[in-house]
Amino acid sequence: MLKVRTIAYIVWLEMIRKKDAYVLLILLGALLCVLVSLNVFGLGGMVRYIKDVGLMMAWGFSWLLASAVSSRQIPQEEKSGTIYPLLAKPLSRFEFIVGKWIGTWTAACFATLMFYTLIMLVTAAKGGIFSMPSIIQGFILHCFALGIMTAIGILCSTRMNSDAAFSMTLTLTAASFIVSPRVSELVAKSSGIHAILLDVIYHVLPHFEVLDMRRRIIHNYGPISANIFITAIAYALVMSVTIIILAWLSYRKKRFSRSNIYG
Amino acid sequence: MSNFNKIYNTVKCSAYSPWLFLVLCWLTAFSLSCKLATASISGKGSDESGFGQLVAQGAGEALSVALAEKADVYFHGGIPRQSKKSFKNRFFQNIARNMAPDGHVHLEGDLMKETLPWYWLAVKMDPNNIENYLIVSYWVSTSLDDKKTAHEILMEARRNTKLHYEIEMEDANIYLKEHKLKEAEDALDTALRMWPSDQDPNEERARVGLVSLLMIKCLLREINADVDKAVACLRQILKITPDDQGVKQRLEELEKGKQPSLKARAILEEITHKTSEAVVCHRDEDEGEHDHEEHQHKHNQ
Repeated sequence: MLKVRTIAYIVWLEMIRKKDAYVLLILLGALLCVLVSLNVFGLGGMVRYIKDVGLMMAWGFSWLLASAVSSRQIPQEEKSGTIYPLLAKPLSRFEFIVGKWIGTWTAACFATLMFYTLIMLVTAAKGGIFSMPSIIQGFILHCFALGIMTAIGILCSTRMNSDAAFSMTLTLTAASFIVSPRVSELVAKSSGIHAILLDVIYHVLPHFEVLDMRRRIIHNYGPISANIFITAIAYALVMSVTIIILAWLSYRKKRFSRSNIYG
Repeated sequence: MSNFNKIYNTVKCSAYSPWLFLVLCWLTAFSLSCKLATASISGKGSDESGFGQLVAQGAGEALSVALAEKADVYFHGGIPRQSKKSFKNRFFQNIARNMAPDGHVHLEGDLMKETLPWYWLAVKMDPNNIENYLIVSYWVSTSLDDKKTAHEILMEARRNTKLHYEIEMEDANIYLKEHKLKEAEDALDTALRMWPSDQDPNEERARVGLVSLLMIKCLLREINADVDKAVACLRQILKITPDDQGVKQRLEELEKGKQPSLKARAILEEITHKTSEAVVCHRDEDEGEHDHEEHQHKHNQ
């Protein structure tokens, strides 16, 4: 466990140094300031649109951050040659993969916490409030969604360079966001092989809509029941662990070539 | 070497060349923006860049429609239109239904305010579309009970769009709710002069609009005990809708010398009240169809 924590700590240091999260935080702040400054027919007291756009941006930025940070971890280590001293230590490849995943996941969660805090402060400044149970549940489920995204990034990066892994991660997660929830509508309009393919996609791709509580939070529907909350978390954990195991299986026998390092 | 080349080489080799380049770019951008600003005021640019304007206009209209749709989603408590699904009760859908509730809800009262930012953006994207102005002024005057702001919104509609009778008709409706009968009558007269604006006079919507205008005008004349003009109005309505039994009955009563000004007030109050509740939503979730009449006036005659 200590080895996993050490690898995760290195990921944190790298993220702090690279300042990705700060840039996104500043962008989010600028966007929220623009929204707050709108003069809507001279009327005031509207906050749902700030919550809506703010949370959408929080999801979007955390998605980008999680994908970018997770997809560059392993390729960067291989490219710079630091993978050799790292794996020469009594560190298994499984611990290495899990450490990278935990590091990127927790770093992305912390950045998301900053985004949520900013949104809550701006909303409060405009006179709105969030239901605390709902927003806490929403944030926790968002974090578990980031766990799946970072796991996909780690999986892709075991066999691709960082750019390809980033693109693939974005594509897979975007497809999960956009296509998975709509498969039931698409199947209604399809038949034959198309319907079967859509069904396969439905069962293979992750379902982020079961971890997305934004509509409940924005429109004040209140928190979800404990059963549903735990079920959603369990699904996210199972999905993440499955993807990480696939990443380990992909990486455990991988051979490195020193001639490729500086190429 | 020419003088120009000498100067060019001196500047190129100077330590200040990046800054000079930056200043040159800024000056170019500034002068282009001035040219664009004056072109948009004088309208001279519109002939030269027809395709560009068309693209921008189309994009604005498309965005406006999308933003108005977003406002409609807000009106329905964040629940979007439901499409036909081939399966509804799988594991992920059951969980997702708890995360993002579905069903049929409407915002009411002060909460209607939350839809306004999207309508505001829709208006900014397509200022020439009167529908968004009419919907917003309706909700502001009814749910928010802010007649002053509703009038100001219609004033903005007049500034940004072509003169349209529906704007004046909505203004008259708001005056009626404020019990300002004189102002309502003036607005109705203006609307009647503008009718049918850009609508086809034989189109159903234009005919219904004209009948609404004439009916309210008739009731106002009855309230003012101006029976002859009220009868003239009713006869005009019968030319448009000859089978309307309610109007025929009313005409008979007035021609017999009955002075039902109290009844006219009651009917006008009822129409005004009915307008507030006459925004009907028909969302058929099972068939995945949506017939949402968000801004509909119904008049019981």
